[in-house]
Amino acid sequence: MARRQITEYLDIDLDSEMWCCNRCGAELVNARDNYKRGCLVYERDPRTVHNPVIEGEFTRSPHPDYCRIIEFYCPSCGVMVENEYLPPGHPITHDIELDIESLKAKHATAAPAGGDE
Amino acid sequence: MAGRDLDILERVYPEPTTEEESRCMELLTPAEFEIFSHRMQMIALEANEVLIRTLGSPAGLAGDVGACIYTAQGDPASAAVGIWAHAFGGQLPIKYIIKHWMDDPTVGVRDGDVFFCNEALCGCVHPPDMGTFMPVFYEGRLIAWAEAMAHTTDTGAVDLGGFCMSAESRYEEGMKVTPIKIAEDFQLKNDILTMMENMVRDARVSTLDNKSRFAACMRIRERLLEVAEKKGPDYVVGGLRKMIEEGSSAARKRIEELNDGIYRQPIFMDMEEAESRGGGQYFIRVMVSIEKRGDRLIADLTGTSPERATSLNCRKHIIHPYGTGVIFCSHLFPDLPPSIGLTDCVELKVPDGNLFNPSEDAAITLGPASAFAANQGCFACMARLLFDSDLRSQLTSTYPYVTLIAVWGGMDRKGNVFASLGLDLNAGGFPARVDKDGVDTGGFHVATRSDCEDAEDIDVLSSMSYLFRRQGTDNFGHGMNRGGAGLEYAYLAHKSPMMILGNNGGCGRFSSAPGIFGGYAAPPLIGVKLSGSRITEMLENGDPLTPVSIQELLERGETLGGTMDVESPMLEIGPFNEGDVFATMQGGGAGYGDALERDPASVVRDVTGGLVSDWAARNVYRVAFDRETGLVDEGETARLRSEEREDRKRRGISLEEFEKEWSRKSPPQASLKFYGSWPNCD
Ligand SMILES: [Zn+2]
Repeated sequence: MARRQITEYLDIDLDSEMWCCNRCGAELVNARDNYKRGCLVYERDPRTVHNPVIEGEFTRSPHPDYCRIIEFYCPSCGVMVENEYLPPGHPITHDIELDIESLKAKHATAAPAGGDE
Repeated sequence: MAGRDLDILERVYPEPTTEEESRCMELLTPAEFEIFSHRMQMIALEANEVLIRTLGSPAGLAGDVGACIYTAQGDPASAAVGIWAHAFGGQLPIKYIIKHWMDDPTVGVRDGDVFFCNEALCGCVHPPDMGTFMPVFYEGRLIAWAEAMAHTTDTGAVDLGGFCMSAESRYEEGMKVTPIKIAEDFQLKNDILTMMENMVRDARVSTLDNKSRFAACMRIRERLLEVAEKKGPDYVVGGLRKMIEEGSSAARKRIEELNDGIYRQPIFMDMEEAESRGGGQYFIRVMVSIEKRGDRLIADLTGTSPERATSLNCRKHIIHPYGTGVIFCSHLFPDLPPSIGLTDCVELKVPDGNLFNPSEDAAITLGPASAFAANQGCFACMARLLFDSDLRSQLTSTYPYVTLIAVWGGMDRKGNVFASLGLDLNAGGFPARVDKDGVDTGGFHVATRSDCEDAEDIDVLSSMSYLFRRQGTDNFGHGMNRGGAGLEYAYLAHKSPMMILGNNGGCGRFSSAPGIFGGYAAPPLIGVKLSGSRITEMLENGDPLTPVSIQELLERGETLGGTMDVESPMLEIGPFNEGDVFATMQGGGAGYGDALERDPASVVRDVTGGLVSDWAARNVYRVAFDRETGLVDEGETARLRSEEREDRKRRGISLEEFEKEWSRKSPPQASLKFYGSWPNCD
């Protein structure tokens, strides 16, 4: 089983070509897809992360009319894999689009132990 | 149009190696090359130090400068900073001089000449960043160029201080000089210095800075000639070229190892329109995509908002090579000698009419702010690219894109007319990293060796007093590793006969730096203006209720006398009278990783140190601890964190389901007036 850790919370299983949670090992979604499709998603009022220091328009919390926090969780262990601060309605970012063929080729020629775990 | 040569702006890559350079490179053994490379670094550092010690502009004091040794063809071979854009910023103007003036009988390039340029259309950064360039001849043969650049406080533009919030075209942005000879036969020309003095508000600083840059170039020349005398001019010519070639191949080799793919990050610049144009918040989107293929990186800014009628436009050479210089030289490859070679694996794509590829007449003085947003997007993309590599330890979350730069002037305490700018931007928070927190008040991401300067020095030299300066509470992104805290500070007008103050910035409603791998973003910023207060009296009386933080300013509001306005940090230039206070902060670094994975003892340490609020410890980090002993309740903390993880699983939905509702939403229409088409700017 050759797993590569791609981010703090995401592995790719090179055999099954799946994104997996690095913390609990759960399979999330196909590695060629946006890993966010394999996560649970929650839209969060920014004031629950950044406490307003004063009432009014400018509070040191992102203003919810202009900014929301979208959180992505592992459905199995609940770790927060990633989050995005977006203006309401802005499309979710496909932030990692790996060339899976190239990744597999790179590790096919590597030492048979494979992976970095 | 006369003086403009847009082809020059494309010559950001090293020029092809000449036969002479090839021949000379072979003369250096690997050991000699190591010695040469180190010697060039020392020379550039020495010139950088000359600038810091002699500039009249406060930017000099802060180290916001750059000096660099260039090849005879005009490519940066060995830089010392300050600011990377200042060190590399001579590349295109020098190529302009070589192309247009070298063989022009009315100009020419001779031993003892020094050229000046601050025109972005000739390859400089923006008008306040002024550069001088000196050819280095050895026995009549051009063997190198010396370069020195620094931000000079005023350009005689529509706004004080060189950053033009209200400019709508280049014609309001003050003095813009195409490459011109300011010295001949090793003497600065008084007619040219006088002409420049006459075009700006602060004549004294204009000439002091020109003399300082001239001195730095002279120092590089002197030292290079010592090397040429001892080892021969071929050794210098070959060595400089080899620094670029070796840098290029070392960087490409490391890039090659990284995972092929495409990495993306949108950045939302949250800006405020000037009152003179009706005011109001607006978004600019900077879309960064980095494609890694083999030993190449393609940085694509397609999808960024269009060019607009303010000075936020930015010429693309500010991104590459000047912006990529920051990432490659100081972050990715700090162990390689800094030359333009490190960045030549990057290809930049920017469509015409994009914010980063504006028309010739566009205003550009605030362009560096847009460049910082692009850099921020690059850092986020690079984090995703670097994690699965030997360079993992080099990855960071993101730096704040907003660097608030205050400008002030009027009449100083000695009765001189003056203009000055705030150096607090050199005390922003640094981003969290894979294995550690970000550095608190770490600096300014494009200026690796800069300093925010002592409040006492600023008081004496620039007639501006500080009510307080401190590391802000929760002024960073939370996470498993938190970002570094940004500086929180308050200016106080005291004993200046006449003063005006403005603050360039924005980000009152949106986050200032996105986090990485589940780390939270750094929060928005505010500006607190207190007019006609009794603060001076409180200070004189040693009143213990004199505020020493923004929190205390806000809490004590009415008791301080005068009127208080809490706004975005952008302050339009206006009177700043005795006892007036303007308090704001620099952005903090963004967080890394899930805050629930942060070591609870570190959270308690930060609460005790005033960097993390009690509220955040409870609600973001979910840590239970004894307020008196500071001891963590491990059992209760584990329970709270597990409860939150379970709650996440309960409240989370699939992305498909989420997008149904989400795609119907939008921010207020007024905020999209300069955005381009919503949502993708296409
Ligand atoms: Zn998991």
